[in-house]
Amino acid sequence: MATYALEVRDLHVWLSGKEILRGVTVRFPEAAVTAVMGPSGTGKSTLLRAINRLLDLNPEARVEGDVRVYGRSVYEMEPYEVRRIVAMVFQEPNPFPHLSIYDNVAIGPRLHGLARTKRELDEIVRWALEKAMLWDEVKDRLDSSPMKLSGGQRQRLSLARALALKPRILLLDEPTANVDPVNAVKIEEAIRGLVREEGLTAVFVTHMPSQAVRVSEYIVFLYGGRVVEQGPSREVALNPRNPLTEKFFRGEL
Amino acid sequence: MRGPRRMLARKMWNYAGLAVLVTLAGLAVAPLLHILYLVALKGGEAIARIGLRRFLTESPHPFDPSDPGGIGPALLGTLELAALTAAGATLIALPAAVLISELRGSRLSRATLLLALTLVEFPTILVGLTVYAVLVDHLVGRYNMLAGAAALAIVVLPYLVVQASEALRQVPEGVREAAYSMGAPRTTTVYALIAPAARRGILVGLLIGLARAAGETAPLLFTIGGAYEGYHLCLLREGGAVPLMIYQFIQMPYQAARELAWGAALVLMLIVVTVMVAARLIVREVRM
Repeated sequence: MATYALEVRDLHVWLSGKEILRGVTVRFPEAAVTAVMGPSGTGKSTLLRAINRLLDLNPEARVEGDVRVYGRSVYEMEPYEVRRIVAMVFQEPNPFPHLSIYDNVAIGPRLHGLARTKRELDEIVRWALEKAMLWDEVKDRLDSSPMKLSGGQRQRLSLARALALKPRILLLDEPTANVDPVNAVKIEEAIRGLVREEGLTAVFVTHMPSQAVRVSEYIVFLYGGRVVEQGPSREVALNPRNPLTEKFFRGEL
Repeated sequence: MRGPRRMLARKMWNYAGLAVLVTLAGLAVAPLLHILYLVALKGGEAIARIGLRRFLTESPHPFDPSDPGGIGPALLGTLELAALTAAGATLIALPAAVLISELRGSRLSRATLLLALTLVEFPTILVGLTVYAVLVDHLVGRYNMLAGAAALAIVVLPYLVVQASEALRQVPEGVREAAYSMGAPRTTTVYALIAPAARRGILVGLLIGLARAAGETAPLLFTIGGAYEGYHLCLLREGGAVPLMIYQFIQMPYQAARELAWGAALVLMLIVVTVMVAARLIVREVRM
């Protein structure tokens, strides 16, 4: 039986009075990629932001239900504690424009005192950049601005920045939606590697069925704020039980 | 043949309209150009006669037509006031701006912004008066530089609060979310990641605020006392400032005093223009 890194229980979210998530219950197995799929506006991003409590920043958001990370309710933890264990990569590449490439990756370890010496910090930065498959491209210009990088490189830098927190769970909000195919493949490979080698648990939001099948072990299909179907990726993609899922995979939704 | 004639009429109207616009624009800009011209001419004349170096470093001799001296102590006073104002205003404005931008939508945020917006237009003479009552009359017992700096800081404060909160608000939502996703407590996140991302906008606000402070006269009228003899940096003593010096010296019936005032006006104009240009350059650099 798989152990679960993350559990969402009967989660309801209202944004500005509108119910976006209507009772979502789903478990994410440890050391695996779970793809969260569904048409746009169906609450995928909202689900991620409820997990790491980024929704707290939105005064218009109301949350009911529970999210548990390794058995602990995130709503009983400090939000920042949650966000260190559950790191996030966003749809838009968003490195900090005022920090160098090195400092972008080093900021997390610095904020959390993960490195005692400059050497340890260098090692974390190098490790994170390697895991994000960016090290070779930036190792000679760690001091330059991230704004000189291409969009795909910036996105891998955002991934490295998240990894430098040494998280256990990675939330990915359509991380390849705004990058070219070559970079998209690199990001997918990086995530597969992290799950395989570091035992990371990934929640990968995507609307592309082919990507979901390539990258994930499990698929959760959301529709209208509810979980319509979930299971091993091949099963869900090839033999969907719900007609809505089937329609989505045929590209008709 | 209605076509060509109509075309001609349209062109005539176009030229007439253009002429009116250019005239009005000229009328609007003329006073400004006249100020620049007059200050440059009269101030330049005075400084040329006295010598730039002496004018910038010596104490004034307003009663001595053969040797009017300079504006040294007043200039130092203005720099001293600017530095204190910048420090004081920033220390208070930054937390207020953070409150406005990071607690967006809350009642406290809206109230703070409203208060700041109201105070931007607050008559500066009233600020000077209040500071006089508290710091000069009540606490120190004599005119002093600290009171001047306090008055200027209060004048600049609301402006800086509005500018800084605007700069913070312009940090892209993606960067803000990324900052919060780094798992640091809220205060740390704001001061370590979001405020630095907005630092240029905040700096521009501070520079423009300082340019304003450098030229403000009303808050200094009954706070710093206007003493121009010799250099000192003591905060609890009377001191001088360039705009106050202009105000006082231009009213004196002595040739030397008026020369000093015009020269000081040119220096003040150059300071303000330099700071404004610096602010503009920073703004341009922001658009990466």
